[in-house]
Amino acid sequence: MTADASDGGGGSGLVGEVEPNRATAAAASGGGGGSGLVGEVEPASRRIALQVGLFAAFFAVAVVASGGLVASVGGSPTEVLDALLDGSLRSPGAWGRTLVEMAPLALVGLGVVMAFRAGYYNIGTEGQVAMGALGAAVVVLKAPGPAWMLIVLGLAAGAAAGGFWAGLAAVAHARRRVDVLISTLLLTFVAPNVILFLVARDYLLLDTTEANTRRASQSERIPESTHLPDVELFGNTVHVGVPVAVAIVAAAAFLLARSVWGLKLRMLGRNLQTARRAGVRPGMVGGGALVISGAAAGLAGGIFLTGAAFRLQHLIANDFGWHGLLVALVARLNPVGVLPVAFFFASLRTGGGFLTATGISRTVTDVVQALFVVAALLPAAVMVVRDRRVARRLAQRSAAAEVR
Amino acid sequence: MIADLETILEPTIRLAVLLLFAALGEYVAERAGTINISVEAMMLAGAYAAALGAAETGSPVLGALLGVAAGLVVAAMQAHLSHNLDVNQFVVGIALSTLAIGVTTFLFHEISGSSMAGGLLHVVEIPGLAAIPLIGEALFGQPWPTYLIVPATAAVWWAVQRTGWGLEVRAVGENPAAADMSGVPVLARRRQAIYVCGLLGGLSGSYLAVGLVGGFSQYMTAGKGFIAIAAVLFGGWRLWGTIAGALLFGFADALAVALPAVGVENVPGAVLDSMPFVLAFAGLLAFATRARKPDALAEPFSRGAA
Repeated sequence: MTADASDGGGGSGLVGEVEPNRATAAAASGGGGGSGLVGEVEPASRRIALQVGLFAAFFAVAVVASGGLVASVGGSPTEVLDALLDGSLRSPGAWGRTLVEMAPLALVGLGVVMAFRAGYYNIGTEGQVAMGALGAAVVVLKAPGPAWMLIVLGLAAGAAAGGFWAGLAAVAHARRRVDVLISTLLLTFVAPNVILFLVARDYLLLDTTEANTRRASQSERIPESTHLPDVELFGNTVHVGVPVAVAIVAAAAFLLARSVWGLKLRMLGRNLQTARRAGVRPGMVGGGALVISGAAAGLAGGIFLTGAAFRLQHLIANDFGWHGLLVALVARLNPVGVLPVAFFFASLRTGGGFLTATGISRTVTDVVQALFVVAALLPAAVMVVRDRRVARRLAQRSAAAEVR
Repeated sequence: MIADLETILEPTIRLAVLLLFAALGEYVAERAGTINISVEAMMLAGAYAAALGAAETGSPVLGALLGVAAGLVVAAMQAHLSHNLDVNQFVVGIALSTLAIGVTTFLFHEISGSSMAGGLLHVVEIPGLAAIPLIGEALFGQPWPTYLIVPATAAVWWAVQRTGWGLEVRAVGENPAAADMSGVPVLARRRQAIYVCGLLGGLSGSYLAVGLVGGFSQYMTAGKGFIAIAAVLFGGWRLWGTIAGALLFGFADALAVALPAVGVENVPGAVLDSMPFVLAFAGLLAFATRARKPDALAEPFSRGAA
């Protein structure tokens, strides 16, 4: 939704749940006690420990439920787990493949964290990834210049194209109050069609080489020299996009936590009125966060194109946008959590390719991901129920004290 | 010429009705203060359950009922997570949409082996009226659930505008704190509005599966739920506007089917396929500022916190 919808309410956003005591205070007053005493009664450390425990418990439930689902269609959960581990970690070169999948997921997830924190619900990352790949492909295929420069410019063009796609939603919101949530979603369904249009025309991006005799709707393969160079990372071969993505995520995590800009984002997401009074300009800061999140997704698309796909076609985004969005949610909008969660999701993606032998459809990984998303939501919900109960008890106690 | 118009008009009505079922539900949910993204999940779950039910029992009617039930199951999750357990409504919506896509795709591959031919609800031609040129076939010669849209629209109008329940629904969407002070159970009303959306979203999905297609295919709703949300926004949170939005976007959807059929073949498929989405975006750009949205739209309610 938009920033102005969340004003006043403050919201029960994921961000709020990162800080335990806020929810308690609200629940305490909600229960009629109005004293906000719960935070004093219960030390924060215990709440955090409880939440961590709840996370572990719910994630365990998600794993068991996934196994149950596999078993229910006649598969063997252990075989599936084995195949997933083989595909993502144990087979030769698997770590490298998983890390290569992780890079775009982490970038998308990071962008989503930024936009959501500002209260700009950018859920159109899939389209932004596609546009990013398009931007990179255009530069790498059409622009003149030395290869290294084409790579750099291509990635920059990818980020710009993704930012532009999100920027359409940002401008529509700033000028015409169009809901960001809906506009980014609608644009997501347009992006693949833009690419399809371009790659189906020989005077634009269609592959016209001998190899493409059937004139499939795809671009030429990008030249070998413009592939992202490989690097060795702890004995695994990955392209240079992986360390770059990790560095960007780390830098952004620092900025979000420690910079004035990060503070402004959080203020905006929490309370529009207060943020305005403190001098935060919603259009600039929030709209800016939206554009940056689009740029991060676009960069992810550029990295995927130049590092792994090498060829543009209309479904280039390959679910990186959707899965990156889920990464941000499972990481509970915490940039520090983005990398590990992205790695986990990446291993599901690479592991999914090894499922053929087990006879279970690789779409099972989509269910597993969704279950983890739900599992990540539930601990906060349990805390709310618990806080309500505590608040009610406190209210009863104070009522009893008044009678006395 | 008239035959061409008929070829366009007929799918327009079908697709508009498909959108309108979902949009009516979304309209109720939004008037109560929820932007219910999971309407897409409700439609998809409804479509799968309806197709599965029709294929297993041989009765498309039973299938449709099962589809409605599936929509209600999704609604129960959305309602309780967002308006009882205080989880952010968009996050719940995203999670449920993902879950619906994942589960239906997985079950479709595993149980049905990627092909499912269910029964199709039969077409009812209204005698006399269906013979009217131009609009006859489009309005009076459709699969029978199409006609349910009339009582459904009337019922939604009546419930929201003319009943005490509807007044309370609108109140919790505009000013939940005030509604709470006057004794309206805010969260319960919001949950009930989402159940209404689940019912109609499930119906919309059933209509797609056993009314129009006669089976299920992977992610067959393909963003139609999001277009239904856009129809409500486009319509400025008014019932007539929502109907107009559904008709317009249904028309854009229908062009993709109908233009090649009437001999217009030089419009690229990519343009046709993105038309409903581009049009919805343009429509929001043009009309979004004019509308007054429910004041408390997308704001969570918790007593004492507002």
